[in-house]
Amino acid sequence: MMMLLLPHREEEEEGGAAGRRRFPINDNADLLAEVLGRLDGRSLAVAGCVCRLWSAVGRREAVWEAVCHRHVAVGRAGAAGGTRSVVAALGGYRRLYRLCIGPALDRLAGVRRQGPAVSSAARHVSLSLALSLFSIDCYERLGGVGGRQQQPPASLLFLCKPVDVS
Amino acid sequence: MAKMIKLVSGDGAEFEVEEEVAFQSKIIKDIVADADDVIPLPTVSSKVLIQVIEYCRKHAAVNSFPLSPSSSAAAAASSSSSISYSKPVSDPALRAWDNEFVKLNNSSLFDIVIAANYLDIEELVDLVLETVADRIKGKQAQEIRRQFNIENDFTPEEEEALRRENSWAFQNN
Repeated sequence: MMMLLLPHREEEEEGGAAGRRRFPINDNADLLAEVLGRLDGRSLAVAGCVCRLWSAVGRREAVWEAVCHRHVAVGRAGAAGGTRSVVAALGGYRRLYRLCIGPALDRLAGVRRQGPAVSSAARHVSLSLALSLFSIDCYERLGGVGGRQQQPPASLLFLCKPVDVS
Repeated sequence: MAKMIKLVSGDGAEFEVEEEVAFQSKIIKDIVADADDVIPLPTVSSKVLIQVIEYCRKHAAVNSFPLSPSSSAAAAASSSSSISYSKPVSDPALRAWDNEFVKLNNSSLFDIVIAANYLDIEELVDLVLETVADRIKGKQAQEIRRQFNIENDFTPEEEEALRRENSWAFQNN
C-alpha cells in the first residue's frame, strides 16, 4: 500500500515561462531515433527539418529501415543481414523509401480514395511489384553488360504508373 | 499472501508492490532472482516511480490472464531491424486505459520513458514512444519546434536547402 500523497497533475504546473524546459529528448539521440523510427515517411522527412540533431538522427539508416519495415512486412527469411545488404546495394533505406516505397504508398492511397478498399494481399503485391521494378532499374543503371558504357535504358519504373484495367 | 518487493526511489521514498507488478520490469525480475527483495532505483524519482508502478499494476492484472499469444513470441518474429517495437496491445479496454495514462506533457512522458527503458518495461517504452511520435506526425517543422520547445539552429540557407531536398514531403497528398 502506498502511503504518499499523490503529486499535483503535471498539466497544472506547466504554466509559467520559467517552467519551459528544452526538449529533453534532444539529450538522448538513441531515444530520439526510436521516436523518429515510428513516424511515417513524410513526417520523418519533415522532422529532419526541425533542427540539426533531428536532421542527423533522421538520416540514420536504422530509422528509415524501421519506417520501411512498418509498411512492408519482411518475412523471417528476409531478416536482418540478408535484406540489409540488398538494400544497401540499392542505395539504402532512405533512398528506397523516397524513390520506391513512398510513391507506391501514395499510389495505393490514391486508389483507395477512388474506389473500394484495397485488400492487404493486393497491397502486398503492389508493394512487391514496386520493389522488384526498383531493383531492376538500379541494376540496369549499373552500366550495362560487358562493360559497355551506353546511355542508360529507359526506366522500367514506367510500369508503376496506374493502368486502367476496368 | 502475495510476495512483496520493496522499491526505493532516488529521493528515498519506499514503495512496496506485489511481485507480479514489479516483475513487469525485466531488470527487477533478474535482480530479485539473484536474492534481493529491496531494490534501490537511484535514477528514478518518486513522482515517476509512482506512475510506472501504476502502469505495471494495471498491466500485471491483464497479463496474468493473457487473451493472445505471449508478446515475446511476437516480438521475436518482428525484430529484424535494430529499432524494435512490441506487439500492439490487443485488449481495447487496456488500450483505452493506456491512452488515458499517456495524457501527460512531453517532459513527463520523457521521464517515464527513460525510467521504463532503464527498468526494461518494453510495452511502456513502446507506448510512450508511439505517443510522442503521434505528437509529431503531420505537423510542420515550426509547429514541432514550438510544441517541443526546440531551437532552430539552422542558418536560413541550410533550412532552404533542406526544404528543397525534402520537397516531396511537403507536397499535399
